[in-house]
Amino acid sequence: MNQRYLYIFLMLILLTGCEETIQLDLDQVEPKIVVEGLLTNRLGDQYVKITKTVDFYASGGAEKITNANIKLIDDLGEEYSFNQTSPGYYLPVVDFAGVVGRSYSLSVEVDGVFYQSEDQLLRVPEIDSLGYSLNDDPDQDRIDSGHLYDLLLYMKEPKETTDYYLFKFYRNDSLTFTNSNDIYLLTDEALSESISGFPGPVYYAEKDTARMDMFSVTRNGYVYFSDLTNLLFNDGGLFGPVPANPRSNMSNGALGFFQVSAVTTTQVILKKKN
Amino acid sequence: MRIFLFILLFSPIVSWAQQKFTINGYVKDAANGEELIGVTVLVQGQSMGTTTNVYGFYSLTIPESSYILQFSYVGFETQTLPVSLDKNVTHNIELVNESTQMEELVVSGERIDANVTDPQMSKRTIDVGQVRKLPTFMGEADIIKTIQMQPGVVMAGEGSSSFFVRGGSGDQNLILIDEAPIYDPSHLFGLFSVFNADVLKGAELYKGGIPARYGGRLSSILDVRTKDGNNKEIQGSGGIGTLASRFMLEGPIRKEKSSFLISGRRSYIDAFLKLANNDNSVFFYDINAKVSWKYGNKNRFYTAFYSGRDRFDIDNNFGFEWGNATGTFRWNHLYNDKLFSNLSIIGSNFDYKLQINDPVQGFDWTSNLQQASIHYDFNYYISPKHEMNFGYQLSGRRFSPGTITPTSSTSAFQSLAQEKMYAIDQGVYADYTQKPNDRISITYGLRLSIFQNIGKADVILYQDPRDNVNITRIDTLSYEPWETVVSYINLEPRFLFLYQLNSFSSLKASYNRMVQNTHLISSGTLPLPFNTWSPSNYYLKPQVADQYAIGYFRNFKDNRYEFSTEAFYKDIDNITDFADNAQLFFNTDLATEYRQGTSYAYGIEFLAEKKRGQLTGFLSYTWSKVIRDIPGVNQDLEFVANYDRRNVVNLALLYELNPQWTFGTTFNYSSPRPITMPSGSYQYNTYNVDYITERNGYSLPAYHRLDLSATLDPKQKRERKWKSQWVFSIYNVYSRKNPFTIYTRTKQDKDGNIIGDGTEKEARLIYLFPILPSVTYNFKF
Repeated sequence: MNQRYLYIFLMLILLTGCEETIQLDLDQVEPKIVVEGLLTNRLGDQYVKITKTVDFYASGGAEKITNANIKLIDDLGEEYSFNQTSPGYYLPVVDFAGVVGRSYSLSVEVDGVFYQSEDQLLRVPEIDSLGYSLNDDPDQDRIDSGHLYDLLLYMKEPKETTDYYLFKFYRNDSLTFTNSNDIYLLTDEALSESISGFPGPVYYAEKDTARMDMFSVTRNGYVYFSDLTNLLFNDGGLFGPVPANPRSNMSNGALGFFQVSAVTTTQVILKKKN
Repeated sequence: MRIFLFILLFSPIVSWAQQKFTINGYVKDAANGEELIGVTVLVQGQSMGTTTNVYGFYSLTIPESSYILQFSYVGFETQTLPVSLDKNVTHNIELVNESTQMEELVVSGERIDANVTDPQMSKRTIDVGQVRKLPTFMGEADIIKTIQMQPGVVMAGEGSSSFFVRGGSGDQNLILIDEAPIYDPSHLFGLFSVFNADVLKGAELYKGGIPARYGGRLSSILDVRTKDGNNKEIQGSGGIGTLASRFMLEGPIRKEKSSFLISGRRSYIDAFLKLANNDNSVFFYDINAKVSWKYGNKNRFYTAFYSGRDRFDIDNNFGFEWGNATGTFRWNHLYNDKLFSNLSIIGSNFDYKLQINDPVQGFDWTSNLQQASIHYDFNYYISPKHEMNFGYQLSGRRFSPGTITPTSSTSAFQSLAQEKMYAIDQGVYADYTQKPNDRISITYGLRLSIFQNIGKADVILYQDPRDNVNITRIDTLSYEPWETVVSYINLEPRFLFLYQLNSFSSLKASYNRMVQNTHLISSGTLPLPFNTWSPSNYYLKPQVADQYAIGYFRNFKDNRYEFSTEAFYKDIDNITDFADNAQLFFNTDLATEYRQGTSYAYGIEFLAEKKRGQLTGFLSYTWSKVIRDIPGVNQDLEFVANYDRRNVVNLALLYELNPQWTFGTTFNYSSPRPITMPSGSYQYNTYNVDYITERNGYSLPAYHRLDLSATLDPKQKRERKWKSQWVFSIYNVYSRKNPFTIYTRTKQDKDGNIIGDGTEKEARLIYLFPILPSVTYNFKF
């Protein structure tokens, strides 16, 4: 039940108008720290990336912060140390996996300023299976690219709590989006307990290996990714919400998010079907 | 000398002793029996007079004597009536249209010198006849487009039926069709309005000095009235436009006693799409129907219906529709010669529906809003110098913000309904107009508004009602059906003052307080049909506006040219806004998203108008500014509203070259509109994200557009009843790429391939319509 339905729809109806690139006349602003952190219950996933905002028309990508001090601690008091392995990238010195039910606090220090956050590792339900079926009415893009198959999701979703999930889809091991701004986010508020053949947003061709990672996210995480979706698909606030920075769990005005998730992975190899 | 003294001494007594009598009646259009609103009734040789009310009724109570009454109205021949008044009399008058060509059925007008003699200020009467000859967008004459050109009115941009009056937001306009509220006046997301120009009698826009009989919205009242139907002969009319066709049939049921009117309009874009083998479908329609009848000279009844709907279907699996339906039953009754009353029973429904047809992803999403009202309004014509209006209005509203229903048993969705909300609104009002002398007129009014949010309701209490991330519910207060959850009582004073400097110029001043208990749940610039409304409630306080206005009014050359300038200051408390990133769709904790604050606006308006002659039209200029200060929004800093256009110029001209050809032009210039744009960008995961620093800190390019039209009424033989008319229009003559909005994206080339390393961004300006010619064929028989 996503606002994106409405946006896609509006784009279709109203923005059949013309468009052109224009040059915005923008003032320079004070850069802000951006924290991108991930901690899951899977070994090798953990990282923290620290960058700064750049001017809108800057080229060369984000400015990396190479002098940050990272401190991660869980609610049992266990501390995990991080090292910079490439500019702006900080990885655990000793690899570890998060534990369901634990809370984790991240502290980032840059030039004497501390940015802190906390997030909890919530359980993720198991996926029963992934299926696939030939779409009976594919659009032209899908015909051209040969991605005629829908991926189908079968799972039981626990209804006693309100849960939020983030999905990532891989096509032959490479992360894939239908639109590069897509964030595949789900809340179970309107979902029934049994999900049976819910089509995924990413399409596949015959012989593809389709993989889906499903992450649990906290309410904070859902809010952040939902805000991020709104921002990435914003229409300048004409019909949709006024563009605003997503509500982060980082303190002290830092942008970005420290995401703590349980993850489950399922994959299927698509064989020819009629 | 003695005689003179005698007269001087005794004339007051004589005048006291002299009995007064009342003359009253209805003023109608001779051609079709339509009652005329705002006809001037003057006693010749004396500075006494009145105007007909919205039902065409007038009443004058004057001393016994012989008089000549003069009835005058823009677009009609002035008529005189000699009366020797020695008892109460009724005279119904029919005025003859002065135009010989195929004229619109009713020219909505007003007293010829009303600009300087009527204490009402900040009011614009929309001439539907003019609207129909001005340039159109795709052939549909639209009064909202003319409303958007009035001084003090700002439009957001192209393709929108929204308008913003004197610094008020788009949901602060009360839009009425035959007294019934229209909650969303748009077709095709705003490209057209729901008002089919064929059936309109006239429209009045009040921007300030709002009469006490109106309440419920802060910034303006758009009171649209439909025709009653020709009560003399059967008449048909219609038109074929680029986008839609119209047909209307009206006529007497019993001649001069009762009449009917039925009209329909439907778009046919869907037919073209079908021809193009396109699976998508889109259409809209409007139906208006009305039956009016008289019972003696003291009772008149009107029943009016309106229904309009839009429907979109995409690929047969995505459907969206919305519509308004209203009904009004009115009973005009004369209690006596001086006391006119109108009882209205009003119903209004607005709903929308979103449908996704799919065995797994399918669901229906419905939302609606219903209103039922009773108005009992009185006009009491005490004497030409004293007039009083009073009444009582009661409304009940039911809001159903949203229900999700799975469309199949295999759907992944479950049923979910947002709680319904109920409200009762009462208004008691009176205003009194007094003319102590020929130069001064004062109107003081007061409206008492009593609002109740009632059960059944569950009010959720939060640890912190402003925390919309970690929502912690601490308790729920449950209310039984009809139990009061919260009530808000407000007194709304209204005041008008006129000082006539001389026969051609005057000064006016006004004050009004308005209270709004119906809030649009939207943070976008433009309201959308799938926005929902909410009554004031436990968390949402009523919005309250105070507006002060002064003006100078002057007519030139025997009232041929009118000029006015008005300055206003408006202050709004509890203006409803929403938190940054507010989630307004299907949010069961919507209360945590409300942010109410203050807003103020001020400005100055200039208007020059010519209403008669070969050349008619108006030129307006407005300078205004509107600021919002909402705690919890924009880091608690003041910001300009997103509809704050500082300078707006509008020109509308019609030139009647000869009885066959009329040429029209409109021009609009609106200075840049504020918009929220990023100041920088950053990367998060694979996304290029905008970094936002300030709300409405950037300006879209200015808006300007020139349109032209030509109307041809071909010469025809007198005996032929069929009359044709062609309206040719060119929209956006010099094809200005007017900004609609701006969005940002990762820098890419024409084919959508990423340029550079994929981290660079660019801004894209969207504009809607280049030059667009259109032709409309109208007919009448």
